[in-house]
Amino acid sequence: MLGRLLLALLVVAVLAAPLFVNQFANFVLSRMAIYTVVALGLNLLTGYSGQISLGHGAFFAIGAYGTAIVATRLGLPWPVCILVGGLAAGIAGYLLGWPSLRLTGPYLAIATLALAIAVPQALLKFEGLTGGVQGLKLPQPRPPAGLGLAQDQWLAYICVVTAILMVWLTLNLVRGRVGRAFIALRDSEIAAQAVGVSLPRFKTLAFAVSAFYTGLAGGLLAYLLGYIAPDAFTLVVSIEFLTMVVIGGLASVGGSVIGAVIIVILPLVSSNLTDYLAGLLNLVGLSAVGATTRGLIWAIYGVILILVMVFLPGGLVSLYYKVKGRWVGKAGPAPKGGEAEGGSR
Amino acid sequence: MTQGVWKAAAFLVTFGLVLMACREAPTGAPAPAGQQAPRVTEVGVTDDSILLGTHQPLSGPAASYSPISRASEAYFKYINDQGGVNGRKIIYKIEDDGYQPPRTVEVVKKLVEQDKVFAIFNGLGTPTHSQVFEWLNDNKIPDMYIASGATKWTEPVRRYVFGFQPDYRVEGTLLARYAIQNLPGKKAGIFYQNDDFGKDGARWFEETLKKANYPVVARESYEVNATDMSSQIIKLRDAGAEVVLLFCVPRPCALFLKQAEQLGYRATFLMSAVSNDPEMFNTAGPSAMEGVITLGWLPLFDDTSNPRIRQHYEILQKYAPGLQPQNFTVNGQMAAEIMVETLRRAGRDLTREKLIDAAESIKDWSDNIAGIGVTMSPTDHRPFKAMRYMKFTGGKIIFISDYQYE
Repeated sequence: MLGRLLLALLVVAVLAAPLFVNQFANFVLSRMAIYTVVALGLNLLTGYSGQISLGHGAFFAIGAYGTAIVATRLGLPWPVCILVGGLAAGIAGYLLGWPSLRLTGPYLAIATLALAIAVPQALLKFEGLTGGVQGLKLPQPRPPAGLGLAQDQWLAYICVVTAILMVWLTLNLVRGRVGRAFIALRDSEIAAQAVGVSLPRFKTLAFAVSAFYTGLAGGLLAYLLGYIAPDAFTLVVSIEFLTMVVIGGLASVGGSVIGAVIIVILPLVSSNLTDYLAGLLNLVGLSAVGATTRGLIWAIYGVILILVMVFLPGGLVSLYYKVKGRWVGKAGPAPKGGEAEGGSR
Repeated sequence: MTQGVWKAAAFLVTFGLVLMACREAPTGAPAPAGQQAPRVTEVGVTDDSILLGTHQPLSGPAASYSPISRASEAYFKYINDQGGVNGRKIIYKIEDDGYQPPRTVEVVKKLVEQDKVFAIFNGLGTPTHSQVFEWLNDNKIPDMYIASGATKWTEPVRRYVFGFQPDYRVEGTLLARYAIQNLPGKKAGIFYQNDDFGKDGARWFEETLKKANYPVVARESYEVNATDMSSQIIKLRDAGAEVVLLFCVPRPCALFLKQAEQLGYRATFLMSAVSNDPEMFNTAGPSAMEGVITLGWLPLFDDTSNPRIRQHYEILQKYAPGLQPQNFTVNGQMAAEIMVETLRRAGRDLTREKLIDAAESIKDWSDNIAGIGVTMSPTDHRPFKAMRYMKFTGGKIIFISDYQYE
């Protein structure tokens, strides 16, 4: 009961937030929502069906460009454009799913990595369609008249509501037949096939669905920024995606949300930390040393990542289970078995 | 029990939102705002301060550019100690984007929407700044003096966007003029990097030559990670190119010159300033580099016979202790100098619109560290359009001309 109440409170809080925070906070909130959608998609592939991908930046790019091209060429309404972006990425994911039938582990990682490198290059080649290095500008969705929302608030709502819908969809997906098939294949391909789970069908499906999520997120990003260029989809983006899923918690919907929130907030927080550090050093008269701390953002970021991995290998979401385990052990009844989450790996 | 997971998520998201909320309060105007009645109405401007923001690679692959912003900051502090600009002190907020384009979007949004800067100044990098310049222009935020040589910032001219260093158009044009004036009656070839940068330079080189009826007999390109240039060299040689434009970054340029020497190809090479680096003598070898013509635009940092350079040393020593003078610091001071000049001309009743008008009205201003005459207009947002010819010779790169204007 308490859980549901908290969940309801959270949804209300997130839905109310855009009305009360400034433009930049709305931008950060929108990015968290976009990253949540990516994390859910990547977690379906990596966490639930056990296939690694270092190439989701490519699907992100395909989704963003698909959306932008349809929006600028055909002038269709934004929900249609985002859906087209998602579908384009989904088809690309389905196609990449076929070679993945033969590749596992590090080999699959390399194959997907190649995609992440190839797509930004391809975007430069097809200048007529993608605008080449100049990128593409697309009109941002205008807030409907009568709601009294500002542009940044409306964009935040689009992103947040999409993210909430995708969370709901994912929860249903992993509890259903398809999700169970993914988990079965991850745990043992042979056993799964023995009970009638089709390996090629579900492996390619996992790729397609995962890429679809990421493509949708790419479409949201295109609208959020109003301008996209190939430089936005570097390899670092793909690596960031994988980091976010691992940090949050593999095979966990809650972990996906946590991972997305953390990966967006962490650089902001560590940038503040370095500012404080520089301020402190200036106070004690070491301004020359203080100036050098400015470049330390990524070092601090790295240290935090290492700490999480060492002490919480199940991701940040496992922290909750640990705390709850102790608390419940003392005061309440033991938790029921049969977690629908599929457990963490 | 998915509710459990949800609780965790709830906690974290709420935590995140609280964090953001906390971050909102103390920002806005970080300057100790005066107690006088609020007379000024422009964002980022108080009675005694002007807030400028920038995105710079202080970490990551391009961190070697970090002295630029530190030198700019030192110059602003120097100006502040002289009483500031029209009675206001400049506060320079430097955000690290690690040369990651997505991070650039975030830090620039933060500077504009949360820190409420008056203008973005000297944002560094082509891939990074590409992500934000359209947005800044659409939102009428001055995007002053971008630290990148790409031509797209100023072509077409956007009201709120200004370039800084001589762009590839200046380079292509001046290298072509060198051929026309010093090597008449010969045939030209073009060797360029197959991207934005290479095509920009090659285009202006060829257009300038065409106007003078100077023949171009071959055009060859390479991909940035190519390791063999011999087929391009042979094609240029067989076409009879005697003057060759090299619009390439240092490593491929060095490779080209080394292989050209091995293949016995002799021509006058006109090389982009991007590869104007003494390190070329080591990578290509001194004999391959001998006689190569290139361009430079700022005075050399170690030319202590130049009084402006000596002043630069003093400013750094006092306001950025520990920062070694280098070509990047001269560059950073130059950027700060033109920004200060623009703010000064915009007057005491400072607004974003007045800043743009002031920049567009600068005419023949040359009181800067390089002594280059700066002229801009509503149809020209490129302040620096002059460079000096330089030559690789005897293990050194020497100036062989005064400033040449495009």
